[in-house]
Amino acid sequence: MHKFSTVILLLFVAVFAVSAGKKDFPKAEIKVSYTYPHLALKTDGKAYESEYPMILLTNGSYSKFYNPRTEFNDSLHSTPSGRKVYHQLMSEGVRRYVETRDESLLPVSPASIYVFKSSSDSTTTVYDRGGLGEYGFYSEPRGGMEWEIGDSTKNILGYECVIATSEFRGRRWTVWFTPDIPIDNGPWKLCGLPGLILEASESSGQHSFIADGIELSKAEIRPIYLPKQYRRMSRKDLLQARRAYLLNGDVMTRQLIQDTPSGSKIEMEPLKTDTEKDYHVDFLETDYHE
Amino acid sequence: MKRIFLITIFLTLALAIAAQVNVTGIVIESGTDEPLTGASVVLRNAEGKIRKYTTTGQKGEFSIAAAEIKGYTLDVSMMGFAKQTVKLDSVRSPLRIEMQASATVLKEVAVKADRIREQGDTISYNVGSFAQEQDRSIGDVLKRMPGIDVSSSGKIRYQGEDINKFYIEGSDLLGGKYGLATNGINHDDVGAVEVMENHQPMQVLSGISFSDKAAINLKLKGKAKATWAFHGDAGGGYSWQPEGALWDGELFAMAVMPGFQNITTFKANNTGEDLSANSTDFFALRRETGLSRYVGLSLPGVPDLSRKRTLFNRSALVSTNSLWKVNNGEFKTQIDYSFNRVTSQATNITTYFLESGDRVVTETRDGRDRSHSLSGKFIYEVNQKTTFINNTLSTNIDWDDVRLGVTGSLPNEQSATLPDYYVANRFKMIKRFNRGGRSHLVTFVSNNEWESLPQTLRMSMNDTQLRQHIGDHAFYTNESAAYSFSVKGITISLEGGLKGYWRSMQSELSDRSDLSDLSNDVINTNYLTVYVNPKFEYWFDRVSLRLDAPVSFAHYTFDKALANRSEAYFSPALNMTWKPSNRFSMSVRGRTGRTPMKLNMIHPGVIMTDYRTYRQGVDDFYNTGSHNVSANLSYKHTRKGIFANAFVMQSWTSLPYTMAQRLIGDYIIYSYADAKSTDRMLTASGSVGKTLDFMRGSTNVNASFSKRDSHILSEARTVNSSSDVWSVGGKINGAPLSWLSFDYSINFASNSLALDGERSSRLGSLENELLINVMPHKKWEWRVAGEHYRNELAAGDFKNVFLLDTRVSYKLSKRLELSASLNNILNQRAYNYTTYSELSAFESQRQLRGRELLISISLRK
Repeated sequence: MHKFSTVILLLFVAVFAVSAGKKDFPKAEIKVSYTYPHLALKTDGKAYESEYPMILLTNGSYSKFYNPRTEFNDSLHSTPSGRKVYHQLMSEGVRRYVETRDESLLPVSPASIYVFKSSSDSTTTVYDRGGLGEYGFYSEPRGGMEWEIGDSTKNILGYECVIATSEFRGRRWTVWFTPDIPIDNGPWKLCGLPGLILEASESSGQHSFIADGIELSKAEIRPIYLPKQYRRMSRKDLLQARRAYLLNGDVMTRQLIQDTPSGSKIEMEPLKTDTEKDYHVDFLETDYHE
Repeated sequence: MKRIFLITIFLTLALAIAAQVNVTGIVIESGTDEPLTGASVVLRNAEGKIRKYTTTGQKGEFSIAAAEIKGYTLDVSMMGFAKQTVKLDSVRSPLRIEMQASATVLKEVAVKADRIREQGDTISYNVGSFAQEQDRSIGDVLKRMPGIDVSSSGKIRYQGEDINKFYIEGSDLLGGKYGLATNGINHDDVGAVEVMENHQPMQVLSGISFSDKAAINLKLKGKAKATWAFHGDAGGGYSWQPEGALWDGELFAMAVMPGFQNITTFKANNTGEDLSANSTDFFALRRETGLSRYVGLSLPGVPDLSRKRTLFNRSALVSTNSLWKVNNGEFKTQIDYSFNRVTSQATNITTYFLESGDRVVTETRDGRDRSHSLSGKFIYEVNQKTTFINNTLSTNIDWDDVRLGVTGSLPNEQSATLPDYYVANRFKMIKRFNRGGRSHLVTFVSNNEWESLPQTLRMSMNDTQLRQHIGDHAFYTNESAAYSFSVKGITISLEGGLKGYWRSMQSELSDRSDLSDLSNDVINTNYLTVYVNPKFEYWFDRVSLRLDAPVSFAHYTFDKALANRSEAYFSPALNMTWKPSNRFSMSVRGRTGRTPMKLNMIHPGVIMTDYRTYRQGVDDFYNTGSHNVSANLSYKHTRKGIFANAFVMQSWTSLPYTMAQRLIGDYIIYSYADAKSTDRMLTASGSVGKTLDFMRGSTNVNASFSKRDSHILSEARTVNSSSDVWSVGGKINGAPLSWLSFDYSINFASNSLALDGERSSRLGSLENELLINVMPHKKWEWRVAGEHYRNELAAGDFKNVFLLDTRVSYKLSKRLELSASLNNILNQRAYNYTTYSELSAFESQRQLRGRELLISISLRK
């Protein structure tokens, strides 16, 4: 009898585990792709022009904003067989990169940020990379912009869009939203308007998001693939850590390479650190500086 | 007093509150009365500007405060519901707004990241995001992809260069006959079209030999793989000209499995659809047997309109192609049979205005060409990293019967029997050995070809019967071996070989007493060539450079017809490519050297080529000199969907002879006369393509220019001629609304010729084509297409033609579709025009395909 109940219990646990594994994720209603031209910093503190696609999956009450290639790489990293595939892709990519010096051959993740916005509990949750090997996440109240709607309109992807402006954490944003798509959402953390934001740019010209595709989609809005990798930290700490890494990352990695596990130090030429850094180039939020 | 003061305060407050209007209410779902959370509520002023907004709460409630609401409206909207607009002047709060469920129709703009993707050297086009409702085959969609160009013959080019391979799921089933796939495979079965830039098809040469050509690979959708996919069409109808029944049928079957692939197709029609694009081998190598027809009996020319308007045909095609993967290699068979019967008619009426009265000369030409072609190709190929073996056996039999009747002032009947028999075997083997960072390659090639091209022309005119018969056959062999070694991007190779060629031709012209001593001819033209071809190739990073310096020594024997002779040839070629970034690529090519004349020009006798022309061959051996330089530039920005390319070439040719013509009675005899002639030609072309994502479309603009100057120095007199042709064109397609798509193209071409500085007038032609496809309902589709041509016949004298087609189709189910098409609704049956000169009028009459009604049924699995 005891044995029997143990079996039943185990069966129950197994069924529960399977059903937990097959958890239904919320379904999107539409999928919007934005292109994100911006200025970014390399780990030597130098600015460069970068541009890659970002996807917004949203159903009106829940949304995810991410880079599809980053998510693909993360999904590979979430299983042992996937990691194997990734390493094959990487070694093949490196081989061809060495031949051609074409960086697009490397299967690297262009953007590290994921933004989840929820209307039901009115929170925004952000997952991002901090410093070297450091990943963090935080939740904060959704939105936070105080929009002023203007009279100008323009057509984006066939939709009439209305202008709106707001200050947000150190930058002045001008966005174009369309009341024809009654979804309160937009790229990154931007939201709070009676329609989907199809274009957003901030006044310094360092960052902008431009929608280049919209389709109806029933894709699952699944959570991030590697939740264990992230630790909770405050928004400002995360941004400060990331900033420090970008300004001095080369020196930090050099130190890591020099310090061998045995304790000895590999002799290497010191890095030239006297070069001028592009301090004026900053993140989407600039209010984290102390 | 105090009371009055209080009252005043209350009144003021009340007024202030009254000035601030509060619009409140709830939003519920119609029918269920369920409150809707998260609906967007927007307050707009009389001009429609947004003044305030909010979203509904957990119970569907909302509340908006505004300074005034006169003339204002309230918009309530939510995904999945129809938008509600309430005029606030006529209602009072609290409002109760009922939302009707309705599918939200998005102006879908496919997520662009998916439309064209680039990873390294591979560019992937998402087929679904380029296909329009009016498209059927994958070839229809390929034409819309920027960077890819499909010519009217069906040939595919990428960034202005011919592709070098066409794969289906990575396998090369069809070789150069990819028209079968592009015209046969349903676009719905293809997920993506991949373009592989700088594609080196032979794995042994990967990393050693640079390729500047691109290949195309069709990535099929899962449902089309590992199973047989079928589709078929059957249509019948009536045509007003040629009067009679119409038919059009097609059966297509395809299997793409891991170890086996097959494409089998059957097509037949008499609707003016040219099937040759389905069976042309675009990668066909030049036949080294070097034979070509002397008899030039061709059908009367057709007006300069689209081919489907002028082709009077009965065509059929059967083709079956299989590929089996065996051990390390592939075995392929390609068997085709095609039949084509084409008729054509032309009438020319020339009126000479004479003082003694007008004189009218009429000539009507009526022709029929009936051709059969049977070909088989058997290929075995091993394509591995260290070994490449390919043996291709091809056989080809053609029968071509042409009949041409002329009535009028010089009535005659001509008929020609023009069969062609050809067998070739090509063998190539490459072995690669890698040792210590170096690669060594050994190559063996053995090519053998045999061809027989008998020609018979019969002509009867004025009770005379003439028969010209030509027997012409040749055997060619080429055996070579090559060694190359490659280290750090530098490859040096040396190829040496032997070519042998034996050809014999006899011609016989009966019953031509005035030319009797010239009417019979037997000639052998043979050669033996020893050659070496040193090759230097440098390929590092983004630069590649190739130098070829072939040297050959040839000995020609002509069997007493001409003195035997020996010749040495050197024709170096240089090719440089630079890819400064992934977006730009440029290349420069140059070649110079001498080439021997075509040996079939040697014939002392006279050969009748049609009822009034004869040809006499050269009586000496000549070489021609030629040089050319060309440059190619291409740019692409895949994320923005921009593809552009430009090409320019300058070439020089010098010939030691020129064509001369003399008249004997009513006949023209063409011969070659000694004369130094030089020819200079400049060709330039460019094309820019761009995706138009806002309407899921694309556009392309192209232009070309060519100019040719030649100088002929004959009997101490120089004749200069100069001609130029330029054209510009553009096309655009898209689906601006979910139920409407369109295609539009415009082309303008202009040409002029100047002889000895005297320029004849410049003539232009303009062509416009518009197709509109409407889907009023999921199951119904209606299409209207119009074509307008404006051809300039003489300076300032234009011929306008307008043609209109329509088609309606109804989808019975996912697999079955019924359609009815009515072509040439206005029933334009003739293309007639008259041009005048001072002393004569020339009238030309040609036929067009008349009005046609075709009812079809299509089935697909």
